[in-house]
Amino acid sequence: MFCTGDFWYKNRPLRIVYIMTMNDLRRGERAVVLKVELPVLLKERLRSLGVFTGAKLTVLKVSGRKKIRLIQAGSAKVALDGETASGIKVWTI
Amino acid sequence: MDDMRLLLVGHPNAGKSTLFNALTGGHAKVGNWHGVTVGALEKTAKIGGRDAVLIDLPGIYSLAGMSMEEKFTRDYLAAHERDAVVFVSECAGVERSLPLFLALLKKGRKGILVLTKRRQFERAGGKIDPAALEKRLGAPVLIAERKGRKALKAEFAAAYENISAGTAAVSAEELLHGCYRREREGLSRADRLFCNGFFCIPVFLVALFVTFFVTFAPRFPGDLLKSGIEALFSEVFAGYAAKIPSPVIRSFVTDGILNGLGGVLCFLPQIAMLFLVLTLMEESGFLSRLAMLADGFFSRLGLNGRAVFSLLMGFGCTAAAVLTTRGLDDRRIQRRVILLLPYIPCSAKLPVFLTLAASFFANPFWGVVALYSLGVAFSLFAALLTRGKRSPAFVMELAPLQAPDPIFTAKSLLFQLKQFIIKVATVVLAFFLLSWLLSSFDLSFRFCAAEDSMLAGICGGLKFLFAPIGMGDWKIAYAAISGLIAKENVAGALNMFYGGFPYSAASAFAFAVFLLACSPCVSAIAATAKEAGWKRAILYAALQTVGALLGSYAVYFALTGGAAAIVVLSVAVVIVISGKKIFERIRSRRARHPEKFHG
Repeated sequence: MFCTGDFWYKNRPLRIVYIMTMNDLRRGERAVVLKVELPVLLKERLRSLGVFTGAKLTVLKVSGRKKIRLIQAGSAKVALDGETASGIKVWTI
Repeated sequence: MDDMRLLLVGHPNAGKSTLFNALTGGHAKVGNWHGVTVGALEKTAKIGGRDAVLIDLPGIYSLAGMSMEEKFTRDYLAAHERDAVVFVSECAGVERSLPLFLALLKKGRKGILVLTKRRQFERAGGKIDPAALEKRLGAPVLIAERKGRKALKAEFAAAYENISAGTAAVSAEELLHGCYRREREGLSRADRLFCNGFFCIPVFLVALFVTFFVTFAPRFPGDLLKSGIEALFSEVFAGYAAKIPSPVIRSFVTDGILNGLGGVLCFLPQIAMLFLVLTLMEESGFLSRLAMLADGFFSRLGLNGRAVFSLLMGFGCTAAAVLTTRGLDDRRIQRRVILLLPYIPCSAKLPVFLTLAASFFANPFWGVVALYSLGVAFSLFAALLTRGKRSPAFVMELAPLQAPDPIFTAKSLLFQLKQFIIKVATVVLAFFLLSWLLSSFDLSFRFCAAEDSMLAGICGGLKFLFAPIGMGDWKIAYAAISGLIAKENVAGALNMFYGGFPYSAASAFAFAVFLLACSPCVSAIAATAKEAGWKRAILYAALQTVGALLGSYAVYFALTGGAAAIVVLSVAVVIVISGKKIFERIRSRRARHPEKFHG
């Protein structure tokens, strides 16, 4: 899901699109990974755990100070912190 | 016929080490969390009438992995290109792990796919057809579940005859289409409970408290069993020894063997109880959830939740805990965790803590709780002092929640106890015999009192070390130094020289603080050297010992109400603050000039 707004600027239509990150998802929401913008090694680790562009994820739980997200990526249950989650661009399904 | 060489490869916690133990009868360490296997373990077994060398490697997620264990496995695979691969995968994780197996087959390797945890997978709604998968893959596929060693070896022998490089051209999705169905998504009821911080963390604290109570409180099982073994040594065996006519041999048996060994072996039941609880936590998948929930707390200390595994392992053995830090992705975090581990009281320190606790607490349970809490507090304080500006990223796969297998738990516990008894019967006994020899004979090899012995001459100069805490005796200094070989030696040495602890409660507590905070044993120092280099290992050991001495002086002066406590504390604070500033300067220099620093 893209949060969009349509505006007019200098007589031209202007569309503002907001792409969600995993940090914006709540428990129970499902999403597809659009892009992973993280350091290469972390990206590779996430890929091997089933978090890569096009992968479908479900948020199972959100908890803690660092907003630890427990997600289901395929058959794996993966826990990641808020900072890592903010580098994963998604759209909800 | 050529010998078989089989490399066990797969994702962490897939069951490689369990399979290795099942085929070879070995005792590779296993646990239901990621990062258990820390190096290559090699053993020979007879499979189908042939000698097979099996090598258990640490788990990897991909060939481009970032942790030290993954680099190790990748390098090992690259160095042994012609060896066949036994790829071990959980049924639930086969979708993710198959691309890694296909990548290995693509490089021309021959492989066998072994699927584990099928029963758990099917109970969760999953389905897999191994025969169909084998046909499509072109490589043997085995299910390793509840099979005896003979049956497993026979299957392996048959699979090895048909081993091939498979049909590596296809993708994992094509291979699994029609013969694999995923398990149900979402958290089970038990998982929802154990992933809740309001349930999991209190359960952990209560479990720890109950364990400590049952293990250390008077008239509870741990204490009763300990008293039984003590009585066996001090009354039964010592009774027989008292009948030996020769005073030298009588002293050798009583002081050298019985007092020393008895002073350590009597704690075996209590050590067993601690190991049992740690094993149960590992096996059930509880530790993964605890790590996830504790991440918020550890991030305040500049660590992440994955440090929980290593810190909890430290309650068992510091050397083993140092090796598990290899699973941490960030080298800087690994070094910090290694620095903290010696403050966590390991099981080897338990005998001496119980001996000392009796001097300052009527109920030794509270003494041990106080010392363990103090050790954890030191560790957290050290983490705070060395905290950087940012805490590391936290990404971790949760191990499945399962009821611990009682037979496996019993085997694991018996193995750990066996290792403890072997260590006591070899290293510790050898040390006691040497100590007895040096403390019972003078330079002319005449049988004499300890004060006139060779040991008094060698260690006489060390009595100043603990004189400030009311123990100006070379025997105490010797007992403390003996802890460098093995921490169990300290309790045995105190028992051998004094038959207990003859000093005041303040001295006992100060000495306990020293033992809590000083350098670990040589095994842990060697493990640190392996992970972080010898320079760092020796620096850490020296800093910890100096800090421990100063800390023990400050505690003694504070307890005896002396004004010198303020002086010592001030000196300690100045040293700590200066050390932190120097540490930060080195770190910022390193960030500005990374090419000048190695490792």
